[in-house]
Amino acid sequence: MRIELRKVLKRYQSQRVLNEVSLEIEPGQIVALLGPNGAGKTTLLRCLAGIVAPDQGEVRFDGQIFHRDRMDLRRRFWFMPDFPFVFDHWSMVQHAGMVLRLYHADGPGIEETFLELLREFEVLSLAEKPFSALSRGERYKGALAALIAADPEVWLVDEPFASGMDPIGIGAFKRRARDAIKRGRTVIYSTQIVEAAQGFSDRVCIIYRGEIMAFDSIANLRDHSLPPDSVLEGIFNLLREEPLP
Amino acid sequence: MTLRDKPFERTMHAMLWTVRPPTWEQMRNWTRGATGARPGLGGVSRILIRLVMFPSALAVAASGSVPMFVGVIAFWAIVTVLWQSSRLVALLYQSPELPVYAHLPVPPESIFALQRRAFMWNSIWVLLDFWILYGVLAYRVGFGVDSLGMALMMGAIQWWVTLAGVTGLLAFFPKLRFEGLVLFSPLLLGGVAFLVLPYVFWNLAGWFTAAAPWIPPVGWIIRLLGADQRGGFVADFIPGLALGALLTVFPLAQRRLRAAYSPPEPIQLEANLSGAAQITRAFIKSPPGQLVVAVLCRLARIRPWRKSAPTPVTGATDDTTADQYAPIRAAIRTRKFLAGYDWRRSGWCERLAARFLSPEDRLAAEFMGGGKPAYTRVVIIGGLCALFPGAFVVVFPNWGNFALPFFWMLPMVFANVGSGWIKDGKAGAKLMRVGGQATSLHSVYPIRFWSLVRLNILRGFLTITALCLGATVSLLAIRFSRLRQPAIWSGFQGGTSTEILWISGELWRLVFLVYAALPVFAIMPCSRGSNDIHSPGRFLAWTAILVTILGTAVWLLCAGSILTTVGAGTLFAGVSAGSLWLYGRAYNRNGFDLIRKASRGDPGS
Repeated sequence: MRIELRKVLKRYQSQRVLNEVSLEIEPGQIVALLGPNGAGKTTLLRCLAGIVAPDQGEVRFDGQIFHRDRMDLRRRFWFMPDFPFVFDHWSMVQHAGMVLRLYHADGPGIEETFLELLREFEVLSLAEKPFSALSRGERYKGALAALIAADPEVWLVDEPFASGMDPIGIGAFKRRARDAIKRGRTVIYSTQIVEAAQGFSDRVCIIYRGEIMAFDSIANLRDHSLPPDSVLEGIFNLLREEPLP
Repeated sequence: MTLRDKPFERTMHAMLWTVRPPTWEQMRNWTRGATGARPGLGGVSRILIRLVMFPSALAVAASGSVPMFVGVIAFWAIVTVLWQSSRLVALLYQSPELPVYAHLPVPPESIFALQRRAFMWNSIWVLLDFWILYGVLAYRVGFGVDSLGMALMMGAIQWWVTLAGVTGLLAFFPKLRFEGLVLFSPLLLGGVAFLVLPYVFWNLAGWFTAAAPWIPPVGWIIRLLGADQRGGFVADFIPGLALGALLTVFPLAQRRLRAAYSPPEPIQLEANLSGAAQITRAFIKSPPGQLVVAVLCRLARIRPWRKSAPTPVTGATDDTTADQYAPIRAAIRTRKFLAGYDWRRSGWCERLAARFLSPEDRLAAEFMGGGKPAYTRVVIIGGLCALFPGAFVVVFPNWGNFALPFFWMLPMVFANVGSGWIKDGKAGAKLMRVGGQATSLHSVYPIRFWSLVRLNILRGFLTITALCLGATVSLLAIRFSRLRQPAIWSGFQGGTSTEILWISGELWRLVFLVYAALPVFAIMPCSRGSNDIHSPGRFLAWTAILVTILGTAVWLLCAGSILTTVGAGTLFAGVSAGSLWLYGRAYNRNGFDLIRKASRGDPGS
């Protein structure tokens, strides 16, 4: 699914959190939204998910303007906040049952996919325990497994590397994301960890004070004559002085 | 964790009193000093109120007129709320037990529950005070010997409402110095003055008499007794509205107060209570003390202070370890978790609802109900609440007038005691806190706005219908019991609100009003986690809509002729439905955010 943001502006009181952001993301790639704290990464993801309403501009999926009543478009992506939104008294299995039905993804064979995901995230033993009895990372894994099983076209993930998941969970997430983009899915995630963005992305979108400073692949960003092993870190340093051209 | 077990409390008190008496006394004094309370202030106010003010007021009232006595009761109701508020503050923040609790593995909510329960029992004196006051009033109005029993019921209502008032004051105005207010407020000074200056007293009594209808439940009770002769629908409506509003706020205030409560830090207490606290701590840390604590914990089935991290269990990574999870795997493979809620094998309301709801709406209902829509439960509890007054009258025909409070009180009581009735079907609207912001749980899932609205309307319709049917049966029972015993009831006709409602049809207008307002009520759960009134323009629009709704509601209720009633009713229903349509359009067209700045009362994530 092709994603477009056209001059999206979002203000919180007088502060412009997103300042006429325009962006086009083609399907089949992993995009890292990278920026310092308060840059507007999460707001951008929330705009895409329809939780935050832009004051100006529009969000388009496959050329169609996205509004909250467009359930046909809404079911083609999922949004995962940094704290999973789950019922405390539900188990991972119950949660997955509901999510899969909400995304109309409860067809034959989905139970095997879900089982495989539980095994991969190493939470099979916790599958029938209520979320209230789980740690933050385990809750995140359970919620993520359900959404990945639903397999919509766009994954919007807020800070997956600061979600409390252990390396096993992070590894499983990366593997699944790479598998998904091979099938034409798009993965957009936010992070402020430079190394994570550098190692796990096809393109990096650098946001600073609500504006997109750069949106390109790591290879192209190297043209900024920065040391190749710390391209993004170099850009971060540049941001402190002046915006990139 | 519960501290409510009787053996636990007995042992706790026994343990506290094993601390040497001088130390205990020191602790009490130091606590007062540490928390800034002036030593002896509480005692002075208690003595002043119980031994001087109360008998004086009674003596004056006994010789004065009925309106003057109503003023005295209104005055007393205000002073009681302030006084009891100061006592609850003392129990929650200044009690000598707190340093001891601080050394036990007891979470703040348990300390809150314990202290609040102690407060409830201590405040039972309010019932006695108002038993006497309402008894005298009822006697003066002319109820004779029956006054004694009637006043006991009224005293109980006053006690309950005082608890609601106290909770509301502490929850929403936590920084007020209640004890100071009781002693030094103009109310009390005026109260002292009117005992010595008769003309001042008359003026003050007049003010309080005028204010009485607005003070719950005094306004409602004097209306019931016929001590307030003002006529008109507004005069009938205000006391019930004020009482209902307070009781509606009660559970909210209680949750807010409980959430905000944190006992004084042990360090703070120790800094000022070094001697006593150290002795207590030393006792608790000593082998006998630890034994006592261990026994206490076992008796009270105490959970650890901090929720223990779940035991790390390594998942199945190979076939050997995978075998132990075979039951889980088998359960998932049955696909039962995808089957969802069985609407056909559930309650009759769910079966009925399933006929009208689309598959998408049914799925949304499951989600919003946290797995179970629970419509039948809503109807049964609502109906029972409303039936209770009728059953009460049938069993106690002489006490029929006291049935009316239950129309207001019982749903609130049920909600307050934690039945979860009010929350049923709305679990999906639970607020989730994300940093400094809050949003509803459903906002990240693909659920249609109009599905949410249909479910809210359905649930509201079922609840109101159950309450109305129950209330109708109750009113019929009340009416029937009157016809059966006209002689006993003849004396009650003056202030019988149920009779007024029955004859004038205002009850039915009220029912229509509530049904017609359902679209606006349906917005509330959707609005809860949004910033829909964030911008000044939208705020003004909403204010205009609400003012229009309120205006048409009052017009409808006060309408004299049938034509006016129909016109006002149609306009009201139209405004209500139009507001919903406008809101839905704004929601669907991304007119506002589904996330807002978190407020103090929001639950944690």
